[in-house]
Amino acid sequence: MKKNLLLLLLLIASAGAWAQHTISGTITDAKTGETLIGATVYDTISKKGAATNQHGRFTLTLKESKAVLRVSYVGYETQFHPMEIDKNQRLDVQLKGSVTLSEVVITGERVQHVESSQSSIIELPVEQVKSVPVIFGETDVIKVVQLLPGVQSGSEGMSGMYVRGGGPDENLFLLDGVPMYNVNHLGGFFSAFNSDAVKNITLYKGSFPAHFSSRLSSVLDITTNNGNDKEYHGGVGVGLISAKFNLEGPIIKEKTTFSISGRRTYGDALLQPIIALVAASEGMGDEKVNAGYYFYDLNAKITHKFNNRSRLYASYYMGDDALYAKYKYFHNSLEKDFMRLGYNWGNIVGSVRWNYELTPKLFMNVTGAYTRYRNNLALTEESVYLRYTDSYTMGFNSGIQDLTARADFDYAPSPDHAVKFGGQVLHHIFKPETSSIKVSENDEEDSYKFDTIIGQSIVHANEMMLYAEDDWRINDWLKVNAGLNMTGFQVQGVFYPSVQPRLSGRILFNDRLSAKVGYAYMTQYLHLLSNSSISLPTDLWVPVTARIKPMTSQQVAAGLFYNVLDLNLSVEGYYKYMDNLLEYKDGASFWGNSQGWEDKVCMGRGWAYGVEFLAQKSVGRLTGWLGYTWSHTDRKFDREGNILNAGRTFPAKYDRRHDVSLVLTYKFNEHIDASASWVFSSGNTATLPMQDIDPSEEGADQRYPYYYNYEVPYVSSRNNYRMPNYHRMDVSVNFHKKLRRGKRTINISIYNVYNHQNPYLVYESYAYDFRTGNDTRVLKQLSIFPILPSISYNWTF
Amino acid sequence: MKKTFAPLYLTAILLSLALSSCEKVIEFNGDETENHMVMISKPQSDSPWKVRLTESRFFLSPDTIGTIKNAQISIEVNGRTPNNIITHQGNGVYDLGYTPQPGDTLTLRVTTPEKGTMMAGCRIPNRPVVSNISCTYDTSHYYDYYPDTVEVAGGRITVKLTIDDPADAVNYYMLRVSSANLNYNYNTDTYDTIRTHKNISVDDNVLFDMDATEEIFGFGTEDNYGDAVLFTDERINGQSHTILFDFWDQHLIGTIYVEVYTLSRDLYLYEKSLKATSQLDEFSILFAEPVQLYCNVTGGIGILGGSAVSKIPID
Repeated sequence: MKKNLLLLLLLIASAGAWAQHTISGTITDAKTGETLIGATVYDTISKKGAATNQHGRFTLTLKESKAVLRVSYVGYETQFHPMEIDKNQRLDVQLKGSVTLSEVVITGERVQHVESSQSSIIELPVEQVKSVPVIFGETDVIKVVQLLPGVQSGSEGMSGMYVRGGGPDENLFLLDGVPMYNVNHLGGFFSAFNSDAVKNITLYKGSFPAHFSSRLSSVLDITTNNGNDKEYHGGVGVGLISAKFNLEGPIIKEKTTFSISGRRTYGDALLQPIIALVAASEGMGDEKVNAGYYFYDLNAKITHKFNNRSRLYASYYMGDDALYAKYKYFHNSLEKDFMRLGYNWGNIVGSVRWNYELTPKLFMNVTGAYTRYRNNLALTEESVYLRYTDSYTMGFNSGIQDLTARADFDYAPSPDHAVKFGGQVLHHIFKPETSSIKVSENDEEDSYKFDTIIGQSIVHANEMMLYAEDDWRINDWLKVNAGLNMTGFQVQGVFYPSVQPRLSGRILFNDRLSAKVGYAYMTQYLHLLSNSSISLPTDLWVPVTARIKPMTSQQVAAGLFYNVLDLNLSVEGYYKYMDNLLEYKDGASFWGNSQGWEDKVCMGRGWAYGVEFLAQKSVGRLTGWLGYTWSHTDRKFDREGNILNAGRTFPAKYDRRHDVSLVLTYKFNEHIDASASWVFSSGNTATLPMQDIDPSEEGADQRYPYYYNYEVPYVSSRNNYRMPNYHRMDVSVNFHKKLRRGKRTINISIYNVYNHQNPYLVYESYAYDFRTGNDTRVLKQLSIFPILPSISYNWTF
Repeated sequence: MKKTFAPLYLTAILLSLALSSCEKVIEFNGDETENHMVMISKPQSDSPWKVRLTESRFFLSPDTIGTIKNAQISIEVNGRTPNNIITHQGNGVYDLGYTPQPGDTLTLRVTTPEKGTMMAGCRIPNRPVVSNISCTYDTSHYYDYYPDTVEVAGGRITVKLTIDDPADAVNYYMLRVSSANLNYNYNTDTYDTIRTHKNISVDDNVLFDMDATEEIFGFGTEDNYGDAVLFTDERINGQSHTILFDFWDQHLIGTIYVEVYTLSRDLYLYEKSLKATSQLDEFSILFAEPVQLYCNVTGGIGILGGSAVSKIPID
C-alpha cells in the first residue's frame, strides 16, 4: 500500500513534467542594476506569466517550444523576448526607465492587479510616496500608507496604523524581511523609515499569503535599495527640521554594491540660542541650561553578487530618539547644583540574507537577523556644598530583542504551480522595565544611602513557524493560492500552537476584469502596552502569558478588480472577527510599567466590516489615487472577570464610518511637478461623561458642605461620543533644475492649506461668560497642527 | 516618590503640544442631553431602608442637580408587598418603612410623571463573621492637631482582624473605620461632633498585589487604601483570614468602630467604580480610560445594593 502511494505521489509530482522547460532569471534596472520587485514576465503565446519575488527573481516553466516573453514593470519600457525553448534557460533582463511614460509603458503592476490571485494588497511606488506632500516637508512612508483605503491614522499627525478595525500593535513592519518594533520618531509624528533608503513598499491588509504570520491586521513589507552597481550616486537634503544624505555605488563594479542613507533633526541645535535668550531674560545669568531633542536614522546595505545564481545581502538600520537636559547652578565657589537628564530610545535592525538558485525551479533565501528596541532613561541631581554631596539618580530601562533564523524556498514544479515553503525560528528576549534608584545624602551630622533596583526578570520566548503555499493556476480563468501556516509560541512553560489556513482565489473574466476572494486566519503572540492614543517610548511589548491568550483573527475579503484606461480600479468588502483582544480596564493606564499589567486589561472580542474603493493611476503625467472606505468596528467584552461597558457592544476607538483620500501628482514638465492630497474622515470616538450625578445617600448637608456635597461624572457607555469630522488638504510643488553636476530640487509644501482646526482632543472645560460674569462649562477641542508651510532643498547626483 | 517620572513625560508632551496647539470651544453634537432619574439606595441589614432620588444633569448645563420629590415608590420584599409607609424626608431622601434582614430579596420601583419608571432589585447578604480582632496603639507617631482650641492626642492604630469566609458562594467585603470627629459647622461657626469614616491602609499581600514599582511609575488606583477598602474572597475562599490594617487616630473622639461589611455583588461593583472615579486626577483622566460608574437600575441610573455589617468597637 505504501509503495503504491509513493508511486502515485511520484506520478503526480512528475505529471506534465515531460517537455517542460524552465526560464528563470532576474529583472533589474538597466541604469542602476537594482533588482525590480513585482515585475512581470508574461508569455504572449501560452498566456502564462510570473512575477518577480522580493529578490527580483522569476521562474516560468512552459510546455511550449516557443515563447515571446513580455517583461514589464511600472515606469519602465516594456521589452519583448522571443525564445526557442528546448532546454532550461536563463533570462536576465535589464529594463530601461521610461522618460515619456507613454502608452508603451504597460505596467507590470497593472497586470498583477487583475491577474494575481491575491487581494487586499497595495503596492506603492516609492516615487509616488516621495511626491505626496507631508508635514514639515518630511517624506513619510507610513503617513502615505495611511492615505490608502482600509488604513486609518490614529490621532492627528500620528504614525499609528489602524487597518480594517485592528489596533496599532497588530501591524507587522518588515524592513528587509526583519520585524521592526517601534516605527516612530518624536512620539509618532514621524516614522522611522527614511524614504531615500526605500525601494519597494507593499501593504497586505487581508488574504495574507502563508509566508506571513504573527500579526492580525496588516503586513507592511519594506525593501531597501541594494545600491547602484555601475556608478556612484547620492544626494543631500536640507529641510525645516532635518538634514539627510544618501550615497550608493559599486564597491566592485556589477558585483558588490553599497547603499547608505541617513538623516538627523537639528532642532536641538537651533534651540540652544533660544534657551540662552530665555535664561537671560529670566535673570538666570548664573544658571546654565542646555536642553534639546533630536532623532536620527541610518540605513546601510551591502550586496554582493557571487554569480547569477547567488547573492548575499547585509543590511543594517539604526535609529534613535534622544531627549536631553542639563542644568548647572554655581551659587558660589562652595555650593553648586547639577541636574542631568538623558532619555533615548530606538531600534537596531541587522540582517544577512543569502539567495541561491538551487535549480532553475528551486530558489532559496536564507536569513539571519537581529532586531532590538530599547528605551533608556537616566536622571541625576546633585547638590554640592563644601565637601558634602547629595545625589539622586533614577534610571529606567526596557526593551525587546529578537534573533531570527529563517529559510524560504520558491519552487516552480510546473507551469501552473508556484510553490513557496519555509520555516522560521525566532527567539524573543523581553526585557521589561528595570528601575533603579540611588540616593546618597551627606552632611556634617548624618549620611544616608539608598540603592535599589526594581524590575522584572528577563523573559525568553521562542516562536516557531512553518509554512507552505501554492499559487495554482487551475485553468485560464481560475487561480487559487492555498496555504497553511503553523506557528508555536513557547513562553514561561506555556506552549501555544496555532494552525492558520490561508486561501485566496481569483476568477478572471477577461484580461481587464477579475473577481477575488480570500480567507486568512491569523494569530498574534505579542501585545503592545501603550497609553491610550499617543505613541510613547514607554510603550512596551510583552508576550502572551498563561492568563493572556494569543489574539486571533479570521478575515474574509472579496472584491472586483478592473483595469480601464490608465486606471486600476478595485472595490473590496471584508469582514474580520477578532478574539482575545485587549482593552484597558476602566481607570487603568500604562505608563512604562508592565508590573501587574494582566490585571489592568480585559480580554474580549471584536469585529470589523467595511467596503473599500480604490482608483489608482500610476502612469502618465497625472498620477495618484482616490480611496474611499466605509467601515464599522465594534468591541464586546462580556466574559466573566473581563467585563467592560457592562458587557455591551461598544465602538472601537478608531471606528470611523467614512474615510476619503485623494492624492494627485501632476508633472508639468522636467522642471516642475506638483502634488496635492485631501483627506476626510468621520470623527474618532471618545468617552465623555455626559451626565453628572450625586451619589450620596443623604444629599448635601449644608452644615458640612466639604464632606457631603459632591458630584461624580457618569459615563453611559465606552466611546459614547464622536468627535467632529476631520479634513485637511496639503499641497506641494517641486522645482527641479539640472546643474552642471547633478540636479537640485526645491520643495515647497503647505500642510493643512486651508488651516482647518482638526480635533486632536475633546474635553470638558470652563469658559468665562461675559453676560453672567461666571465661568460656564463648555466643550473644548484641542487642535495641534494649523497651516504649516515648509521648504526643503535637495541635491542629487 | 509616586509619579516622579510621570510629570516629566507629561511636561515634555504637553509643552510640545502647547507650542503648536490651538484650543477652541465647540458645539456639543451628541445625543445624551436629557436628564435621567438617579436612584441611590444601599439597604443594610437591621437599618431602616432608604432611597435617595435625584436627577442627573447634562454635563454642560449650569443647573444644579435636582431632587425628585413627587415619586411614586413601591417596594417588594421576598416577592411580596410589605405593609409599609413611605415618607419623603426631604432632599430627595425617602424612608421606605422597612428594615431589611439578611437573606431578604428586595425590589424597588420608582415612577415619576416626567421620567417614567425605573426599577432595581438586590439581596441582603449574610453578616460577615469576624472571629478575632486586636489592636495596637503607637503614640510615637504623634501628629499635629486641630482646631487650635481643642487638644486631641493622636497616634497610629494597627488592627489585626480575622474573618471566617464561608465557602458556599463568592463573597464581597468592605472594610471601614468610623469615629467621631470635630467638623466646622458653616451655619453656627462652631465645631460639631459628627461620625466620619477614616482613611485606612491595608497591608495584605494575599488580598492585594502590593506593587512596589507602582509607587514610582503609573497612576492606577490604590485598592488597599481609602475610607472604604473593598475586596473579594477570590483568594481566601472558605478560609479564615487575618487582615492587618492601620490608620491615624488624629482628631478622633469617643469610640472607634471597625466596620466589616458583606456586600451584594452589585453594590461591590458600584462602590469599586465610585472609588475609581474619585481617584482619577487631572493627569490620569488625560491618559487613562475613563471610569464607568457601575449601575444596576433599569430605566435610570444608580444602585440598589444590599449589605450587612458587623461593627466592632475598639478602645
